[in-house]
Amino acid sequence: MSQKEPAAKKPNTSSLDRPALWGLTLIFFALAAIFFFLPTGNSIPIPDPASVSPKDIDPSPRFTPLSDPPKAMVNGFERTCMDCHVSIDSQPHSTDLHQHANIELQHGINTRCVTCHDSKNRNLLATLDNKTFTYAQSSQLCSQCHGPVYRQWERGIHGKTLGYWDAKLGKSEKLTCTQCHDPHHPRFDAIKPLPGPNTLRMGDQETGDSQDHGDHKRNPLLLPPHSKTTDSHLPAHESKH
Amino acid sequence: MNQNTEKNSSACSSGGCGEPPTRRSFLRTSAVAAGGLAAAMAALKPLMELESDDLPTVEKFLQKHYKEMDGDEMQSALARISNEVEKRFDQRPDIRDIKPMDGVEFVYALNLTRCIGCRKCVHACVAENNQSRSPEIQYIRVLEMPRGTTNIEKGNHHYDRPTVPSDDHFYMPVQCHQCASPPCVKVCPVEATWQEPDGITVIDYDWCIGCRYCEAACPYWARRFNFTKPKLPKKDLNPKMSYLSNRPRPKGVVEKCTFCLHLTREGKMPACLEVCPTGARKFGNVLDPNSEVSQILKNNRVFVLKEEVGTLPRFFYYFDERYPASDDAKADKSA
Repeated sequence: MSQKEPAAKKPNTSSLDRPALWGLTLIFFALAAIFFFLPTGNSIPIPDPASVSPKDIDPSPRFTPLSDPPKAMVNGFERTCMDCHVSIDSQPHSTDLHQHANIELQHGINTRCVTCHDSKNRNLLATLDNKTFTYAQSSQLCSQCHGPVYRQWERGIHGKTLGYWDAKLGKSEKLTCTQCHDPHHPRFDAIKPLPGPNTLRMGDQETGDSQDHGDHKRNPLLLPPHSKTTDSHLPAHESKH
Repeated sequence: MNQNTEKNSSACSSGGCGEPPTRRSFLRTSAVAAGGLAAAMAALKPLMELESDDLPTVEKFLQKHYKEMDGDEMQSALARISNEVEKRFDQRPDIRDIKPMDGVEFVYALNLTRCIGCRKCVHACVAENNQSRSPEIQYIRVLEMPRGTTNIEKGNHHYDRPTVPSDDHFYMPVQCHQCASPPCVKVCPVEATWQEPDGITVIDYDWCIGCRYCEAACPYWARRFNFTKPKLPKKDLNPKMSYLSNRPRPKGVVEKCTFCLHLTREGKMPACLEVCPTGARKFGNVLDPNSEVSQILKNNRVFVLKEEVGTLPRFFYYFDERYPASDDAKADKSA
């Protein structure tokens, strides 16, 4: 606007009388109110955590140990092992089971029941040098082959101890072998892991096995093959240790 | 036309004092003023979302640091917290201030041969310690490590396989190591975190200002920050609480694993140990020569993470050995 020299003396109007300034003030405050009250819409959506059922985190032992001697309900009566086996002429070295067919024996190189079960008295367990143990002493039976692990278990280095760590305040409960390991199938099965940390906010990322690094939709960071979240692109000689 | 309202030589107007305002200078100044005012209002926007229990009561505002509170002040603080929890969760909590035991220093040992990476410890901890579920805070981070290294920078935090364990990896859970020389304690500007005599590093949630220096200082990524108000469903509340460990935290404070001190200071095992299905975790008092952890430290080859930074962690990792030294006939088996 041209700088007209302010020769024309206008009467001094104060700011309060000028309608344009009022209008501008209104616009300012309207803008402020808009920013204050309207949702900004830039919040990062927080995904709900994947639910974990209480039985996934149940601390009680995997198995309840059998009674000594073990009892089962057969036709409405409670029977011990010898109630049947005293009269059954079972072939001790047979692997062809007609009863107990639900037991799948997968215990290393053991393929015979009599490796652990006494062939003469089924209420007892027996070692390979014919020493017998009751079912309450079953951990000692395991030690005939698993000596080093048994010594570590005695010290608490192997296995699980529940209860109290402070003996003065309560009892500690060291779990026996069969409370964690099924004696017929002692190796732990692979299980599905529970959900991990929910800290990736950038959509579906590449984790685990499946890889596709060229696709932006599946890997917004386009992580290179040797990043720490993906490693199955390692050359073959590196991944075999 | 000669009523150009910006021309007023007797007052400071757009364009600076003493200079007649031009249209350009007016527009520039008012754009700046509008932008500034809008930004200020946008910054004040969180006041819209303020809830009544976000504002502290006078009593909470004037509450002293944990170490300075005497018995009565602690009791009134616990009563205040009980009321807050009852209002929020409809449940009266059993909250106490549990002091450390004498002659006890906690140590945690973890058997890496046995960890299968199932993450049950992670979620048992979440269930025990009243953490925010959305966003979910997890104190324990299980790393999937490639075989051949114990460098935790190479671990995968986000593994999600159909089944674990994977044959090419081993699994290393990491949580607060309650270091004997903790860097987090050194950097806290307000001394809201400190190490107690039994070795546990604790946080006074009412004193923490949320600056997150401790989170930056920790070499093991052990600390978690509440960026938003923690959302904890009422049914998931664990009512057995202690002041320093698992009471519900407010927004804007740091939290971390406390070795479940509300359990362990009464002789029980921490939640992560109880749920581990393979028994990989070992916990106890290292000052007791008969405890499991003392035996492990004496007989096994244990190592710590990031030993070179000198934090002296209380968390020891070990692998099962085929012929461990403990089986040597000449080994020291005395208690």
